[in-house]
Amino acid sequence: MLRYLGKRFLLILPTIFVPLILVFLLLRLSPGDPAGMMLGDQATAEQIAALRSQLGLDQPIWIQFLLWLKGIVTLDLGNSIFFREPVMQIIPRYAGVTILLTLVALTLAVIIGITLGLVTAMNRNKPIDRGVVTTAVLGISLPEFWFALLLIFIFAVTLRWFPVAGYNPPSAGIVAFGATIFLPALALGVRQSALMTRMMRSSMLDVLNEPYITTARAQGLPESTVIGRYAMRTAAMPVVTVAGLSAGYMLGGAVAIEIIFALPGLGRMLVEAVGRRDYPLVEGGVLTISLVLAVLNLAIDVIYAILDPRIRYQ
Amino acid sequence: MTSEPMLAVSGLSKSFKAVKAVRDVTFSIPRGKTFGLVGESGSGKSTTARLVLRLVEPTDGTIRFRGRDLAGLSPGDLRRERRHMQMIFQDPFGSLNPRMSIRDTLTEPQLVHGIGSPAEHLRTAERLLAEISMPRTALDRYPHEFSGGQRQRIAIARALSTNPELIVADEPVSALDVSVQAQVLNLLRDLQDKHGTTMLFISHDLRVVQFMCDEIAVMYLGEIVEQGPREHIYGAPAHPYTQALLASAPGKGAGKRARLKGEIPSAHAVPSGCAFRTRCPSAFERCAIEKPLMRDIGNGQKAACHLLDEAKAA
Repeated sequence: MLRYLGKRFLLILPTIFVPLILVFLLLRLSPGDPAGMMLGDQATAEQIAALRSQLGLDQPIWIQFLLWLKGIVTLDLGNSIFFREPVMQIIPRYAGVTILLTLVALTLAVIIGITLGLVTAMNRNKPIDRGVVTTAVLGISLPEFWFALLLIFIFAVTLRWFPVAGYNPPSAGIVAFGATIFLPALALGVRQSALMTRMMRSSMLDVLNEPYITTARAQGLPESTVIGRYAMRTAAMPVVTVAGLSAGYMLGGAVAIEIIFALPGLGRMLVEAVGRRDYPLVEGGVLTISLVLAVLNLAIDVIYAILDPRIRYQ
Repeated sequence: MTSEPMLAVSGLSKSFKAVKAVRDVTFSIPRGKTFGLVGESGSGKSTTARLVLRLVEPTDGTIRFRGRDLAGLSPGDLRRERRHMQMIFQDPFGSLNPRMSIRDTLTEPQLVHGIGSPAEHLRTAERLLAEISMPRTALDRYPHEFSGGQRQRIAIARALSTNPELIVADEPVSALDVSVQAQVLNLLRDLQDKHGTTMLFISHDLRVVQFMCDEIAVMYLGEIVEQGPREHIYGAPAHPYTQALLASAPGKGAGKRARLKGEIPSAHAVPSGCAFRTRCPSAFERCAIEKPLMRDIGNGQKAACHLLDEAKAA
């Protein structure tokens, strides 16, 4: 088990660094200059050049990269060009919202997906199965922002159960936090839950055809044990895989949801930072997302090992 | 009670939509004896096994096990009754749960049926491992670490773990190498002698059936065409199909009798009259018109063929 985890841990490093290198290069190779943006239209060429050398932007690109790598190792990600504040202080303000949003959305998606997947697999070709499967296709096809607006219209505007937008941190109390996070999380999670439903249904149907399930039934095991201990554990594996992919998608793709619900999250911060060519902040944001993603994937590898003892031995 | 057969099947039929998989099958197995079902693939042997185990609902007919009609049992009673009827399936790679250690595989049936304490479960598991000549260390290993023959021995140990009165073995050795088959069959026979278990043994391999069974029924297209004690079936087969099967078996007597031509007809379109007439070397007009009935030919042997009538009349 330890060797398995060690190996997984080593594989994390490229997960973190490859996106960082790509973002670093992409930012600097794309047009647009942070110094020009900061100084505005009236700035003279000398002023811009002075600011560029102050920010280190006049150095060759590989020197910039090495300096930045050194920054990561010494936990100094530099100052935001726009906020003129250390990136290490800005990121936590935004990252918390996005991570919590992702976790709540992922939990909702997994619960909905596994439940519906089970229900449909066990009622194959009955009306409930057809209904859910059709709805799931619809769920996969609809864009999240549309679903978000629909949820706001129904639950916030019409029923007034939840606030329309805004954010309360968990420190404001679990109810206040829940009220502001539930609708965005649902909007973000519903597509993933539709994917997971279909995944769970098909893998459940596969597993239910396995001879050891027949054997378990013939042995006289109660149906709850056959489904719970034998079938579900195996069928959940692909869902766990999808959950990992979903997490990545939600961490980086929550921008639209964060904007609609006015959540001060990382996605929104990143989009704004890219617009301002705020290199250090963008790089810091991507680093954070990569780190969180890597940790989540490690967690998923551990779940694999728990679900399938064979993995621990390989 | 002692004179009552362990298993008495009467008029058992099963149709899957238009396909008549099993038609009017009747047999009984005395306590402690082994009854063999032989036939080509598609002859309904495995469906009969599943019907007996009540893994499939029969379309018609009764199954009396230990003097009780299985159809009359509530789902809970049926589940409890399963303690006394265990099974061994063909595929030793599929019939063991890949995610359960051998310890769990061997103790779970006892746990489910509430036999003894956890300490006793473990003692039984250890005793069973000794009986199948496997080391105690196998307890903490998983099915994928064993070979096909070893797995099938584990499946046998699992079937014995609830100390059942009837074991249904559906092609228990046909997935194994010939060299391993003998080993597994010997083990099965030794354990049967030791535990006094009754067995329904299903195979397409005539030599295996001859080795294992006291009484044999030959199935063709879902029906029993001949039935009787082993020495009579092998010594003096009455039905042309049995004769052809024995002729096609490698070894002594091969080539002396007529061989079968063609394939078993589809169970969608069972031939009129005698189902075997399309492949029978001695078929005549009556076979297409009239279905031959099972008739007694002495020494407990029965067969369904018009030739037996003709022979008697001549």
